[in-house]
Amino acid sequence: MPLVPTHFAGKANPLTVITPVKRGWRRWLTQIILFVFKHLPLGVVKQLAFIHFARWILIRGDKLPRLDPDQPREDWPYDLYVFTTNFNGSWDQYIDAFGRIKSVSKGLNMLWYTSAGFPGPWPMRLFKRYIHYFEQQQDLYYNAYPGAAVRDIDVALQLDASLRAFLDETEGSMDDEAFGRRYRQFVNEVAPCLGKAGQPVDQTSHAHRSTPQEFRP
Amino acid sequence: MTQHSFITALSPIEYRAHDPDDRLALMRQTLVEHEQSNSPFADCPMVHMSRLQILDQMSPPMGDVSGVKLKTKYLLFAVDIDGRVDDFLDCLYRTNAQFVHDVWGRCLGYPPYEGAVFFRRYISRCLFKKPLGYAGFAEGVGDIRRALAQKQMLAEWVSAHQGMGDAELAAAWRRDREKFANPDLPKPGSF
Repeated sequence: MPLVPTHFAGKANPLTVITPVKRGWRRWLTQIILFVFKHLPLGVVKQLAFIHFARWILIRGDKLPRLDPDQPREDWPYDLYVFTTNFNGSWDQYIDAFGRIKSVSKGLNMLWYTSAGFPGPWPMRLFKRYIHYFEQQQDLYYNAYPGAAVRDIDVALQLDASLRAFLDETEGSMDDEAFGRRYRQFVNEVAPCLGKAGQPVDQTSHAHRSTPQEFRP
Repeated sequence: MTQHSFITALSPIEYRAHDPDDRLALMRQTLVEHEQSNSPFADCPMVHMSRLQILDQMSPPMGDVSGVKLKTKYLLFAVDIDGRVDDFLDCLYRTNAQFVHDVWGRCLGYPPYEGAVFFRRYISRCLFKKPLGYAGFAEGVGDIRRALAQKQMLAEWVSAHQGMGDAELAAAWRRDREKFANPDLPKPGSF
């Protein structure tokens, strides 16, 4: 079965990577790293403009829910370090961006530093193999605006303010000539934002999800 | 500016080998039937993105040959929402209680009662807090959908009214202005 159900045709792709973190000092270091990153602005990630939402969370292996008296106690000697993301573009492009953009790769190096066997974001071949090894299959994925990439949303929100102003100005009576002038000025101003979104992507572009480039013959 | 919440919950599903009650298979079937176009999350207006994954084979690190593995299979529930977690869980239960029972009702420890409060309590027992979350934008789902719908409508309007004179343009705008002020929003989760 492919890693992502192939009948999903949105512009955002889900990725879930769960890496093991050995208990002990690595657990505490991971929590400190997450605490530090919570207070950083993550401006570089924002500039990349292809990630909708992402999260990192450390789930302690000894705190996994045991909700049935017959359920055995876990003795797996690792914590689960969960990374989930929703990104635009292909799996390879996404991982490439992580590895090749220096400030991002430095951040990732710190975030995954404590994960068992993490080879670092470079060389790319080992990094991709690592991500693929710990990637989890999606069973259900839902996106409230599947036809929109992050950049579509950014420009739509930029356009919103200009459109509101134009609507306010044209609410009352305005002579035709003045309207024509204002309309053309408005359209010139917002033209870069008017690219169409909303088309489902071609299903064949999902083929990479089941076999990343690194593993193709 | 909207407050985003990042829900991460792990619910135990099955610890016996070979899934004797077909819990995993039935749950997988339910999940596949409720993806995107038929998703209960589409009726919850605060949901940006969500995923449900059955973790039935956690990988040990490369080189670990101890053979120790997780004994129970878990369901990972990760959702990015606007606002409070409890409001979302209530909304999900009220919009599709059958889905909740078909998924979490098959998990270990789910109470044999119906009601949103039991679902909320169950998820709170499975919830992991304090994630490092990143959101690409500060706006809520409603604002984003509205902005996208207006952008699409405006692109089509400008394209359809190219080359018109001022009088024609002004008349057409007066006719269609209300549609831009109060756009019809498509159902969440649709193209």
